[in-house]
Parts: sequence; structure tokens; C-alpha cells
Amino acid sequence: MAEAPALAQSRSSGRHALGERLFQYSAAGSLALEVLFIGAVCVALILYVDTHTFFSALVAEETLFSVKLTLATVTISTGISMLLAIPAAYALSNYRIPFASAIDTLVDLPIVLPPVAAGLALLILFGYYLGDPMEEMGLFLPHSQAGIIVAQFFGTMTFAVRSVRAAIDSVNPRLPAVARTLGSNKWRAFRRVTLPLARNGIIAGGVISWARCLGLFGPVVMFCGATRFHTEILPTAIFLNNSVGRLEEAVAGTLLLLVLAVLTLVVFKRLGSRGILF
Amino acid sequence: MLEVEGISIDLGEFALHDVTLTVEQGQYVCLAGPTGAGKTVLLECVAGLHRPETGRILLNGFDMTDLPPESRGIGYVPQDYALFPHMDVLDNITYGLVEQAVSGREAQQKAESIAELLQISHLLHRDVTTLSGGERQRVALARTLVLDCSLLLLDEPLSALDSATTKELSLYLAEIHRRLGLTVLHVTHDFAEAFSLATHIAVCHQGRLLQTGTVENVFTQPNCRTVASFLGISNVFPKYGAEPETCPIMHHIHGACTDHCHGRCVCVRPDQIRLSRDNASDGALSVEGTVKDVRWFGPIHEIVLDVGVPLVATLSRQEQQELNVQAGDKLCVCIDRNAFHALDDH
Repeated sequence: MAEAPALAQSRSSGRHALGERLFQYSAAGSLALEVLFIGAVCVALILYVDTHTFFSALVAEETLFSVKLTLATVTISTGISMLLAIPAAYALSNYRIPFASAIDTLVDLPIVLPPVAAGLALLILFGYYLGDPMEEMGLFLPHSQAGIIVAQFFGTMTFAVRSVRAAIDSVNPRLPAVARTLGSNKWRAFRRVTLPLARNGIIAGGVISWARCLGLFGPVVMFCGATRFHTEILPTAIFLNNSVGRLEEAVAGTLLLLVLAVLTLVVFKRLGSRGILF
Repeated sequence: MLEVEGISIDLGEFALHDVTLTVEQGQYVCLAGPTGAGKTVLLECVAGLHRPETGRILLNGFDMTDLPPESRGIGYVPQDYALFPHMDVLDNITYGLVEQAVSGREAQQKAESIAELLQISHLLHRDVTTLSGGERQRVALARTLVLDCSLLLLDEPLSALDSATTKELSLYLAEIHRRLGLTVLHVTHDFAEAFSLATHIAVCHQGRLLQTGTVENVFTQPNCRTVASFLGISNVFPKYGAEPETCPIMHHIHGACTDHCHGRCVCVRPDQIRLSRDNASDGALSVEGTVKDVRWFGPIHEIVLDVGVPLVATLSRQEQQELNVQAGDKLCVCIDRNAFHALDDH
């Protein structure tokens, strides 16, 4: 009889340990499953192409064209996104804007809008409504390389605004306020206090926006089409090669995108570990 | 001289209602009041961080209600000191000088000079994130004082510090005020801090200034129950007849008051109540009270009595050693006629 409480305690302790182990294993198991899945996808790509095909696809004229076009458009559209995101995020963060909630929702819309729908919407705006007047001005965006930048900008600006806003929000609002009592006008307080303190978040936003632009396909193909040696960015090249059965070239392009994505992440994390980010 | 004329502002959580305040040149005015009274909002209005909806703010006769903060020439040290974490101490101190386009060499000389005055020369090249609370306060002061401001605004500068640092820095603030002849408006919720530093006190409550005056005036003659309560005067008695259920002692209390107290609330500061073991009826009010509790606050003892109504008296450590008051003791409670002070009932 005297052993009963000890036995109950021992059982309870055993159940507790089992519960802890189950929790630990389920968390670690989920992580392992995700890592395996992503790893398997990458390994499958690597195993599919032989080295010779990969390198010959890499130096092919079409691939080089799409790489150059991709890097140029992605860099320009990210630059424009960030240039507009900084003042826009400042406004969202600091001003009492009428219909702020509606504006906030609208700014988020490009994230949730299906990419194909976004491309179609751009086509309707810049083709159907603004096409003629813009063409008269010598700037017809649909099916043009400039249009790629517009589509990428539309797809990435929300990321830029969100990340810059988070960075600006993280700055103690009292700091620019005190800067103003010390003689700075609004712009100087922003430039000397808010901007340096938000710098890490802004750089992080730029890197993430650039990476997001790199893989943007839906809006670009809907708005600019998929014309070889004209609007053929890397994702478009993969789509075109796959659709005509040139799978090796498509996989080589995919591997190239994969390498660029990994490089972006490495740069992002290296900056972080050196204290430049975060 | 700072003149705040009838300013009102509603920021939702905090508001000011028709606040009027004058701070003369060289005065050290403490804006005191409980948390949420609107003290910081008033300070921020003077600094130019909020524009009042009505009223004017004048500095040396010049209306600066519509001026942006950078054009006011007013020094402002917020509660958290708001040092710029991406700059070292020297860059923090020279921040305003750079805005005034002072040359690098001159700015450094001025910074070194103010740092020497504030005894922080050894900190000039330190990262501000590594400073202690007291050091941060000195750096924030240096950053403001280096600009030769005509008015210094301090928002609870001692509230985040330990008691030893608070004492050291309050002496230090008083010394800086004396040496530089500054005009200071200092926000605090601690009336002891206000009394130790200020030449004048303004008591703020729920967005209104309830009383302004010299330290002595506010301490000895609070004008209403709220101010008395803020000063820690717990012996506040309602208007005679206002609460008919109160015990007969109220009749004696009001009978002992001077004429100007009649028909009003009255208060008695705990330090003006005399306690004795023998029945020495040498006061206007002399009654027997039972000791309910004895609380020790370092140099003073607080004696909680029941004389029909609760009454709090204080004894010095020496007086307590002589009387040896214990809970349950019966004591004679004497209060002079002039110890009673009339209050408005709000």
C-alpha cells in the first residue's frame, strides 16, 4: 500500500518524459521532413543534368541574354521599389493618413493577388487604357523590356514597403523628435537619425526584394509575353525551354536561378552575421 | 521667460485643458503631478513637438506657438534621454552644433568644455549603449547644454535611476542650475524630488494646473484635496456637515479650525501633529487616540492613529526613541489652530 503513491508518481513522471520526447521528436521530425524535401528537389535538379550539358547551356547565347536581361531588370526594378518604398514607408509609419487602413490593405494587395491576375491587370491598364497615349509618347509597355521592370516592380513593391516600414517602425520615435529640438529639420532628422538606424532593415528589404524579383514569372509573362531574345528573362527561358521539350536547358536555367537564390541568401546571412543586417 | 497662455490639446490618451504657466528667467520650476496628468504633453508642447489647439506659448515675449522645434532654441531632455545609439558620446554632444554649421574643431572644443563641466570627459569616445543610467543622463544634458539654450526642459530625468544615483544627480542638477543660471522646467511625479530641486512648483492633474507657487507656498498651503493628496497629506477632513454620518470628532476638528477654514475641507500635515503620553491639552485640538500601526521610513516613523477618524502623524527617530510608540498605545494628540489648512473640495 505504501508503494502506491510512489508508483503513481513514477508513472506520472514517465508520462511527462514521454510527452516531452514526443514533442521533441515531432518538432525535429517536421524540420527534417522539410529539409529533406527541399534537399531532394535540389539534388534531383543537380543529378538530372550532366556537367557538359549544364555548362554548354550556360554559355549558350540565349541563356546569356536571359541572364543579362534578368539581372538588369531585377536590379532596376528593385532600385525603383526601394526608392519609392522609403518615403512611402515613412508616410505610413509617421503620418495620420485618412483611410489609413484601406491604404494599408491596398499596399498589401500585390502580395495576395495571383501573379497571373496581376499581369493581366497591368496589361489592361497599360495596354487598353494607357496604351495609346503612352505609345504616342514613345513608351509602349506591354510586351516590352521596360514592361518587365513595371511587372517586377508591381510584384515586389509591397515587400520593399513592408520591410522598410518595419525598419522605420523599429526606430524609437523619440530619437528624431529630440533631433528636431537639437536643430534638425524633418529631412535632416530623417537623414541623420532615422535612416542610419533603419539602415539594416532597409538593406534586408532590398536583398529580399531583389530575390523576389528574380523568380517573378506570372505577371511578367502575362504583361510582356515570352518572346525569345526580347522579353526572355530567366524564368521565361525555363518556361520556353520546357514547353518545347528542351528539358536539359530548362533545368540548367533552373539551376542557375537556384545558384543565384542561394548566393542571395548567403549574402543576406553574411551581412547579418557581420552585424550589417539586424 | 516662458509664458504658457491657456493652451489646450487633446491627444486622445492625454489632454491639456486651458493651462496657463509662467516660468521667470532663472527659475527652476517643477511640473509635478501623478502619472497621466499631462505633464509630458505640456513639456512637448513647449518643445514644439505638439501644436496646441488653443492658446499661445511665448519665450522672452516672442510667440513661438507655430514655430517648429528646431527654431525654438529650447533644450529638451526626454525621460529615456534618447541618445542616438549609432553615434558615440562626442557625436551625440556635437549633434546640434553640426546642425548649426559650427566647424568641427570648434564643435569639439565646445563639447570638451561642456563635458568637463559635467564631469564626463572620460566618456567622450564611449559607445552610448554601454553607459550607465547616470552617465546617459549627463550626456543627454551635455548634448542640450552645449547649445546655450534659453530654456531647459527635463522630462522625469531621475525616474529611471536607483536611489543613490537619483540623490547624486539631483544635487548635480541643482549645481548646474546654479552655476549656469539656467531657466528650467522639470517634470516629475515625485514631490520629494520637486521639493529638493525646485524654486517653484506647478501641480498638474488630469490636464489642468491646480496650483502654482513657491515650494514653501505649495508645501504649506495646498489649495485643494488633490494637491494635498499629491503632497502625501493623508489627514484631509471633509467639509463639516458634508458627511453627517462621520463621528463626533469631526465637530471638534472643525471647531478647532481658524475662521477661514469653516465650511471647507481641512487638512493637517502629519509633521504638525504632536503626540505625547500625558494629557497636555496645549493645542486647539487635544484628543486621545489609539495607535493602530507604526511604520518605519528610515529617518521618520509614521504613526497611524484612530481618534474617531484615521489620523497619521510623523515622529523623528529621536522622538520615537523617547516615546517608544507601539501599536495599541493610547496617546494624547495635539494640533495647533494654525496647523489646520482649508482646501477646496476637488
